[in-house]
Amino acid sequence: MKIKAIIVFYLAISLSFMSLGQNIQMPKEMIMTYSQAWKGERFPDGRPRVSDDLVKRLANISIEEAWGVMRGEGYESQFEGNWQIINPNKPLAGRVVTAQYMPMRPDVNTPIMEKGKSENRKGSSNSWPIDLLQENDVYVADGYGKIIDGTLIGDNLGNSIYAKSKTGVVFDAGIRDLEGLEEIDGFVGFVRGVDPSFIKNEMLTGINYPIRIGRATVMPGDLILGKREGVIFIPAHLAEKVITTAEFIGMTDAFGHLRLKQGKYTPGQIDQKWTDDIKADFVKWIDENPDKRPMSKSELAKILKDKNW
Amino acid sequence: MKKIIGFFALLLMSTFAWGQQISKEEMLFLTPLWKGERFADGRPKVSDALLQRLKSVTLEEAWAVLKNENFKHNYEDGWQTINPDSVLVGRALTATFMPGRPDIQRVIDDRGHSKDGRIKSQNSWPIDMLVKGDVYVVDQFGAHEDGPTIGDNLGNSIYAKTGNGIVYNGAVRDINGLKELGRFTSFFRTYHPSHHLNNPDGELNTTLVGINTPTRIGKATVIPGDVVLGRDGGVIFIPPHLLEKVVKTSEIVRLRDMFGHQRLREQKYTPGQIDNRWSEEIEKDFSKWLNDKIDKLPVPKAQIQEFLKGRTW
Repeated sequence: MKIKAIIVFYLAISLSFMSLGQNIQMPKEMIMTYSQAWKGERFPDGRPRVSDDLVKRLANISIEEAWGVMRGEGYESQFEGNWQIINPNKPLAGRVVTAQYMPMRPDVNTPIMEKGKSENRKGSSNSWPIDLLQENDVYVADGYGKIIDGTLIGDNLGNSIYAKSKTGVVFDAGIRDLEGLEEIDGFVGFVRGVDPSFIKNEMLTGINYPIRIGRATVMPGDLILGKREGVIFIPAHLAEKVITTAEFIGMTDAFGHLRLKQGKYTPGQIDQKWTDDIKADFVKWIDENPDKRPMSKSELAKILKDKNW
Repeated sequence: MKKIIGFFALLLMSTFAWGQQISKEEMLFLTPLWKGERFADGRPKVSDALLQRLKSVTLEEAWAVLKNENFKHNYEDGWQTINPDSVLVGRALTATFMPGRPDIQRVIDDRGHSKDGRIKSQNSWPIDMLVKGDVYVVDQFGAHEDGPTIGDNLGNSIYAKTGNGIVYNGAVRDINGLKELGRFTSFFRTYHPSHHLNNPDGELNTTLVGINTPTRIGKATVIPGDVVLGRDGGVIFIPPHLLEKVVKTSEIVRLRDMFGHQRLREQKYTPGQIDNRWSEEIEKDFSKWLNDKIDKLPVPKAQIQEFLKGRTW
């Protein structure tokens, strides 16, 4: 009798899982498995949630420094360039939400649309990823480089994206309504091109699955930094290291440039590994100029202690 | 009792578990129009007989049927080929690679080795699953130098298991060895003597993120179980539920063309008569021609009989 009950219980549970069928959004367990190097906070859907403080500081680091730290960690495929940029004077920084689009197949699109409706998703599928966005998210989509009939958003969806995320988008695809998007104060977009056509013959195949943007593989919960040079995707577990290291390099550069201007040290002294005297001078300078220190005192102490700088 | 609970706990975990390989439920979800036979993992299994008949179908014929059914994104070209005069036909098994990421590479390696019984490198995992009549369809994101995941070792394995070549969005290596296989009719983007890099703690440029998940090959979306028809430099991916229609339409067109060309050579009808909608007289002549030649035509006799049954002429 007991065994029977267990069997029934098991069958009931496994059936409830089977009935999920295709998941439009990547299942939580799958995100957790992929991002198991991340030990910090997560969104309810499992997506890594790097702190707001780090996301804010991300905007001020340079692409080269982020690239250098990641390359040192063995992450060689995190940058993609050659974009048309909407509002290029503001950096784009935030947490990634991904979407995958593919050429339309009616046999596949029909069950996806039905599934979406049963999950209470509204309208056409290219708005579903937008419905999930939260402040500081960045909508990143693989639209396989399609521009004509491949415009993922116009200024309607653009306004919605900005209202929700306060950031912008990275699309390996096109957009329409460029002027309207440019008018959204603060919205930043990295896109492949602009076309007046609207999205056609294309379907959404997944939200928050791994996607490829050019040379980079992008995961949900990555941080993204977009500047005029291009975009770089930072795995959540490397975010703190990338940002603090980049900030530290920025601090040492500021100090070095200042002392060179003052003629206190020679270029040879600054451009080499610093002597203990110069290091002590730097520590004293940064202590007296807290506005030059974007990181917390404890983060700086950690770097000064850990790093063979 | 504890053992039984343990057993079910294990079963339950296996229900929760995921790999990068598509689940059976998702496989069924993505192919709702296929009502026929399936592999144990849910992948549609069109019949060997239809695959055999597909070998005589041209890309135009398949393309026209798909277009009429509103399948407009199932064709891709721009390939380098092995055996350009041969025809590649089979059931798609797909693999999706992306640029390497150490964090993803590690968890996929760990999971594959410790839980899924996968052996060694990720690039051989989909190949271990291939069976006779499959075509291995791979998105290697067009990678060229340091791209190839297939040389003549894996090529030999693929050919031994499937009897077919591959469709590969990337570069292959060991091109001579692959050509020496003889009937390894294949479509790939480029050739390069280098190989991909798969060490998460060292050089890494390629991670396998999907087995039998929907895969984009250029302008086409490919679902596992699709039927591959590769010939004359192009490849079309036919949804399994449309295969029979493609084959039958092609066979009828082929027979009508044979008949029409023969009658034009005999000058029995004018080009205008044949190049137009046929008159009742010509249709009757065609039915008679089919009956007379039924054993000598390039379409199975049973098919012609079935076709004749449906004709009113």
